[in-house]
Amino acid sequence: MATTIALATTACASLPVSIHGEVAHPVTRDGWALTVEHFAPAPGTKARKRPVVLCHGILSNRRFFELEGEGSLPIVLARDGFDVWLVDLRGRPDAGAPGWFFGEHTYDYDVDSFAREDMNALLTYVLEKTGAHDVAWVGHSLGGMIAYARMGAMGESRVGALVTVGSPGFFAPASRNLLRFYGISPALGLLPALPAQAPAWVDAKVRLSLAPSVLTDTILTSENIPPATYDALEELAVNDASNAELRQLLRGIRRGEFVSADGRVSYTQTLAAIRTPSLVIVGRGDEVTDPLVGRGVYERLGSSDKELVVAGRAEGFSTDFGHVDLLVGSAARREIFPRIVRWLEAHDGG
Amino acid sequence: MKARAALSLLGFAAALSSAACVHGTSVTTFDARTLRATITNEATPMRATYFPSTAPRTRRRDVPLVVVEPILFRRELLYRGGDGGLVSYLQSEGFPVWLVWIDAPSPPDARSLSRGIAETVASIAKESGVRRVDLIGLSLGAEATLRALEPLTAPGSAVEIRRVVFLGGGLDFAYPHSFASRVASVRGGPASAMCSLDGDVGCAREFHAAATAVPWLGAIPVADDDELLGARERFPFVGRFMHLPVLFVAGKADGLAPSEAIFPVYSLWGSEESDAGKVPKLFFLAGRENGLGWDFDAFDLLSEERGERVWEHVVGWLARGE
Repeated sequence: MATTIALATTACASLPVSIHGEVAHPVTRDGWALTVEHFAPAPGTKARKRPVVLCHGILSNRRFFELEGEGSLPIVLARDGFDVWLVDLRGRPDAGAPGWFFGEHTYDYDVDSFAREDMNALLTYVLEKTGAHDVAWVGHSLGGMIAYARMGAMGESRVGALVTVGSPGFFAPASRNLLRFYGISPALGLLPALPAQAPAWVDAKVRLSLAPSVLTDTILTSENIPPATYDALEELAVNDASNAELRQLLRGIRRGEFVSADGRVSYTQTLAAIRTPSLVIVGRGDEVTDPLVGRGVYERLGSSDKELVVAGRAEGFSTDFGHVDLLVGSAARREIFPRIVRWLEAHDGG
Repeated sequence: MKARAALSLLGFAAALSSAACVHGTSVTTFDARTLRATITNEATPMRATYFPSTAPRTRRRDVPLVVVEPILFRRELLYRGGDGGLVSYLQSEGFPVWLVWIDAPSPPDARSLSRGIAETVASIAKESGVRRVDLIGLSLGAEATLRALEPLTAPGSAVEIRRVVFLGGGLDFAYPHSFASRVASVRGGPASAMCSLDGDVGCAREFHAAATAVPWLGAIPVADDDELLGARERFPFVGRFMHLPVLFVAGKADGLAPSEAIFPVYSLWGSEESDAGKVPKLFFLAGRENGLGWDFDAFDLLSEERGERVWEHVVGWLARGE
């Protein structure tokens, strides 16, 4: 036990997260308070035209983008003159966590809720605050998927540049890990949400792994993340996922396409309606979004200005990037962040 | 099984160095020293060498398994003197294996190779006295294997292809920075030339264990003129393979024939059938996410050090057709 406590203390003491922006809570049309954290451009930098919105993925929150401290993507972008807005989708604790069974809000939302309501409220808020015409949307995993859905199927025109990182626009029947999500399907009927936050916190504190291995193996495991950063990720950046959002994704995995909650709209097919300049980044070692999916998304996008980056050793990167380490860890800081910054500079609406 | 019968006589006729018989454009020779039969195609520089099953009689399989050499790696990697490698493994699993290989210092383009493969497969079937064969295309040999399926499955073909496997074979490179575009400057020469492209050092980017893999490198054939077009343009005939069972294996860490260069052909396979679920096809990612404990690169898939974990899946899948 003494060893455990010592380890936990060490982990806490070395948490790299130390950045904070100005926090606000815009409210959606259906009454959910979201969280926006603003990082203004660093003084003396070249002014950029287009604000940048960074959106986290499933089972995560905005702190995901802060794990690298002063080397985090929002800080790197702000130092380059960008006006940066970190966002939390609904169901994240900083704006009031949902109740499990009772309360003003419960876990009754799905992925469509993020795309239809949250993304709308966040874009409205950022554009109102900045006076800009449109934004650059940078989404990790689900954070990119909701952009696919909103921009392709809901007529969203306030995104002038799109960067997706490890965001599946369809599901290929190639990975046992994704198929293993079927296995947790029955469990989804028992609780309104998949409790990931508490098990991750316990793992970070006392090295007791309680999370389902299908989640840790597929999403969290990575040799490219330093232990202290991994601890910080588990302690701060893991979030529960609603039963309904997981069910929607499971429906898509079964069909092989990213579909609406009712199954009527294929967001995979509506990728062709997206004409916005787009950068699609996938990791060679990503077990959620294999490069074959990245290529498929890239080819389906209707944009004439689009770029595909496969982050792997054969492509000249130092490692075969996975799902999380595309944006967390020193390799991401060295090799992925500069790619995103350069692309955003070149697509600043000029 | 004419070839097997002939081979069984070879011990008796060991004093003979070789015997020969002729089938149309092919010549079959039997080598008493290696106990191997070789078919020589006169039109193209193709050879096919027979490796009989080494499994106990009760585990031997009837349908010959034709393996098209990887080209990117030297074919000796597949049998390593007879006691290691993919071919030896398949022999031990009961398969009568015919290894199709190119007898030329610089392999021609895939289109030319495919004609030789189709003719050689027909010769193998005739020599073996069977109509049905299974077919495996490896690495850079996969593209020519795929093209050979068009004549081999055409009406009137003397051969019936029972099952097809593509192991680590990239088939659609119509995307930016693909392997085909990266190695364009070194096509038609030794594959080791790719090891210093774009700042790479000794193929450290391509292989987990470059020092082990590089000595086995073979050649990179000259490109077909349509190489950078998509699968739909290059291989439209694949859409009608609605009933031909196929297994595509992609190494998760294979940057030469990556999953994104294989999946489009998997998608296209049998696509004339409106219900994709009815098409007997499987895409397998060789990596940790599928329980293999390791993300396979192009060399891993064919090396005896790691390949057996994948070959087990290939053999299991082929056995489903029996």
